[in-house]
This record gives sequence, structure tokens and C-alpha cells, in this order.
Amino acid sequence: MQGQGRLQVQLIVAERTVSKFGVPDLGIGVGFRIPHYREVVEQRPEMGWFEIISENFMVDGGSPRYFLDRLRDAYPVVQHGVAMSLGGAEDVSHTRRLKALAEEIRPPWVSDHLCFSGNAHNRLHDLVPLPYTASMRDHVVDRIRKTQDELGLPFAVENVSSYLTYRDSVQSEWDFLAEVVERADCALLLDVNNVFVSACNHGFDPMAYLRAMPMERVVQIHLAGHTIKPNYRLDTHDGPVCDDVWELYREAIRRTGPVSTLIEWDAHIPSFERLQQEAQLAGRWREESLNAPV
Amino acid sequence: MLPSDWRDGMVEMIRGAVPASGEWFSGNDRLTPVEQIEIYREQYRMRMWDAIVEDIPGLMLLLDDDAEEVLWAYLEDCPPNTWTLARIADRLPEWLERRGAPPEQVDMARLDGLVLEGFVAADGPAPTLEQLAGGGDVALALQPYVGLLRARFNVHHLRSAALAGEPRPDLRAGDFPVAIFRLERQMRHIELEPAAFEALAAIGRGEGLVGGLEAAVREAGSAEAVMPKVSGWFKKFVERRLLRVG
Repeated sequence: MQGQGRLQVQLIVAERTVSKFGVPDLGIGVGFRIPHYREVVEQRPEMGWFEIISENFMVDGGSPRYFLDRLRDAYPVVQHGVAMSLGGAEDVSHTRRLKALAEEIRPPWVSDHLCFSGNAHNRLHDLVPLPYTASMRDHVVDRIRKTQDELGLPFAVENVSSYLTYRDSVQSEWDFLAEVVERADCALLLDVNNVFVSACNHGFDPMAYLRAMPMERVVQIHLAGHTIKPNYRLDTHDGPVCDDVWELYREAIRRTGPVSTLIEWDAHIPSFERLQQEAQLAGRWREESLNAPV
Repeated sequence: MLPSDWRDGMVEMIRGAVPASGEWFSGNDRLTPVEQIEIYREQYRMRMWDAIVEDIPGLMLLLDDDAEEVLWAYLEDCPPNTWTLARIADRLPEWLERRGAPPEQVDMARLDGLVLEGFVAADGPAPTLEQLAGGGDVALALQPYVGLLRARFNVHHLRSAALAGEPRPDLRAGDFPVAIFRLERQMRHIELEPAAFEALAAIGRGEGLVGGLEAAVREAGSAEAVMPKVSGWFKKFVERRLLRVG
């Protein structure tokens, strides 16, 4: 296997560390995306771990499963979903397929978003933010608990980028999220780019968000690029991580301690080499921040 | 205050079935409540368009300038209803047929759909020619990635040529029995004799080897027309891994 360099060393060292949920720190990883499938499984480039979009592999066979099998031979793989719609009703067919995939690949944890994606008849295939109310809190806590029981694996919820706020919300997003993960006793996937995008869109202090997070529950951090529109920022995952988000990441990882970090790059996907450079940059910031005096 | 059915309301608003309303949203100093929800409406349209266009490369060749009108009408009638966007065009062939679309469009939509289904379908143990020659006790089925289309136009020729960047043949009407299948993770197609196609179709319906041969005889009109060709057909089926055991 190739990849005897720094990231591999970091992976080995990192696996000694476990979070509250007993999951390993996998170091720095990237999303497993179609343009890189062949290069990754055939050349096994240096990378700590890969995240897959669960739904893309909840199929019976063919190319996705072929490449996933080979990916698992060479790297740790974590499942990240986009269709659970925790703010809506459970889709039993989705849960059944998700569970089957998780039983097969046994990822250290599974994640999805704290959002709403549709009703029983129509799916929006978007990550729509929730109203931060007591009834919604109780609803998602119940869904998360059932999901954890069903999967039998640590389950992490991710904060989403948002472009709207509800008049009915009675809490800030960060208070709502912190309360949900405590009550559900689940893990947290902290998307630092999403914190920053939402902070810009809604005019809150991203540091206040970080300070409110139960950092001992964070099992993974997401990093990504976003797009600046005239009146808002859009979470597009179509470019490198911006300086403001790096700064927020350094603060986040300093607070969480060593947890797995992932670069998401889903549109205008660059060469794998370019993605590795972004991962290496994340690795440098991570090491600096973790070694910085508190 | 949000009504108890706010989720339904959000879905309808975001997918554009009802006008945007800012009633539930607070807005901010840069975006009005309506502008906030408009972001989601715009994103929905972009996402749906990208997803459906990606899934129907063949039909897009035929729709041409009508694509926007036809596909948005379809998405309004048949919005996505499953957790996977990969099935966004599932209901398109039947919808086109109900709408009275030209048969070549219906056939092409079916072809696009069979390619998508086959690409991610399971596979199973394939029989050998020796097993087939051994007798009728081999339980035969079609591999799950095999799709059958008895097309009324040569849509498979047009699709393949366009996707390969080759000169596009003219569409012509006729009887085109086509098997769509996966080999080495690539989707392919093969045009078959009508009787061979009907043999495969019967095997796909669970009628086994004997049922397949009977269907071929029915299509060809006589056993004499079929029997000399059978071993060649099944050799072709086995080489392309169209069949599975059990």
C-alpha cells in the first residue's frame, strides 16, 4: 500500500485516541467522489480516511459497490447521510437500507443532518433548517434515539447551513443543537463551514456557537468552501476552505481535542492531488492548534 | 405561529406548488422573509433540473428545445417521492405515454431508465454453457441488471452514438428488440432477433428455459425456425452474462 507518509503516521497515532463515544480519531480525510474512484482504489494515495454519502451506496451492486469494496480494503470509511430528514417522519425503507449498509461496512459512526427534507409524499432533497421549538426538539430527539437503537452504532448529527429563520423559533440554533444532542445522548458532527455560513447569513457570532457546543460529543468536523452571493453566503462545497473558516476550525479543534476532520468538495471537483493539498493544510492547522498552549 | 402541517406547507412552497409567502419566516437586515424562502425555491429548481437531466441523456437528445417545458411539467406532476434522487425519472416513461408523447420519446425514456437501473443492480451466479446443455433442470432467471426493451424506434443507436460523440444516425421506425445489460461495470446493449428476445423475456418472467423456448417458438411461428438458432442465442446470452442461476 502506498501512503507511508505523514497522514498515515497520523492515522496510526490518532487511532489510540477515542472520544466519549469510543470512536477513533482518524485524522484528516476527504469525501469519496466519483471523479476520484478509480485513482483512489487503484493507486491508494495518501489519505487518513474517506467519508461516503450513504445514499449513493445504498444500492445492490454495480460500480458504486465495486469501488466501495476496494476503498474499504485500503482505508477507514465513515458513512454520512443526506436523506434521513430528522425533522420529518421516518422513511422506513431508508432506515432499512441504511442499516444494511452499516451492518456490512461497520463504520465507526454514522451521521446525518439536523434538518427536514420532505414529507411522506414529496422529497425536497435539501437540508431545510428546523424551527427551534420545544416540540421540534422532542421530535428530533425521539428520531435520533430510535436511529441509534436501530443502527447499533454511534450516530452523529450535523448542523446545517441555513438561509432562513422561523418566527416561531424560541432558541438560538446553537442552544437548540446542544440541547438535542444532550437529550438524545448522541454524537455531534460539527460543520465549521456551516457555522460560518449561517453566522454570516443571520448575523450571529460563530464563536458564540462554538462556545455553546458540547465539545466532548464531537466525533467529526466538516470543512468546505462556500459561495458569496450579494446578500448571503451559499454552502456550495465548490472550492477551497476560506481563511475565516480555517480560523474557526483552529478554534474548534483546539476545543474538541483530536477528532477526525473531513474536507468536503462536491462541485467543481478538483484533481485528487489538489484535494490532498487541502487535506494537508487541514492537517497542519490541526497539529498547530492541538499543540498550541491552552 | 406555524401550523401543525407546516412541513407539508414548506414542501409545497419550496417545490413551487404554491406562491412564496414570508409569513413563517423572520427575515433579516439583508433578506426579507420571502427572499429567504426564495433561496430554497431556487436551489430546489436547480437541483431537480441537474438531477433529471443527468439521468435522461437519451431523452434530452429528443426533447431538444421542448426539454424545459416537458420536464418541468413532469416534475410538477411527479415530484421526487423517495429518499434517492437517482429515481427522479422513474415515472417519466408512463407519464410521457399518458401525455401522448411520441413513441420514440417513450422508448428513449425507458431505455434511459433501464440503463440507470442496471448500473446499480445486483448480480448473481451466471450459468455456463455446459450447465445449459446439461438439461432443463437449471433454474434460470435474468441477471437483475438486465433490462429488455422492444423499441419502436432505433433509440439505442441514437443514444449510443451521441454519448460516444459519434455521428448521430437518423431515427427510424421498426421493431428493435434490445437487451440492456452490464458487463465489467459498463452498461451496454445488444439487439436481438425477436424470437431470442421473447425467450429472454419469458425467462425474466420466471418461465425457465422451457418457457423461454416455447415463447421463442410462438414468436417465430414454428419450432423449425427456432431450433437451429437456439445454441447460438444462448451462447450469446452466457457470454454477455444475461442469465443467472436460481
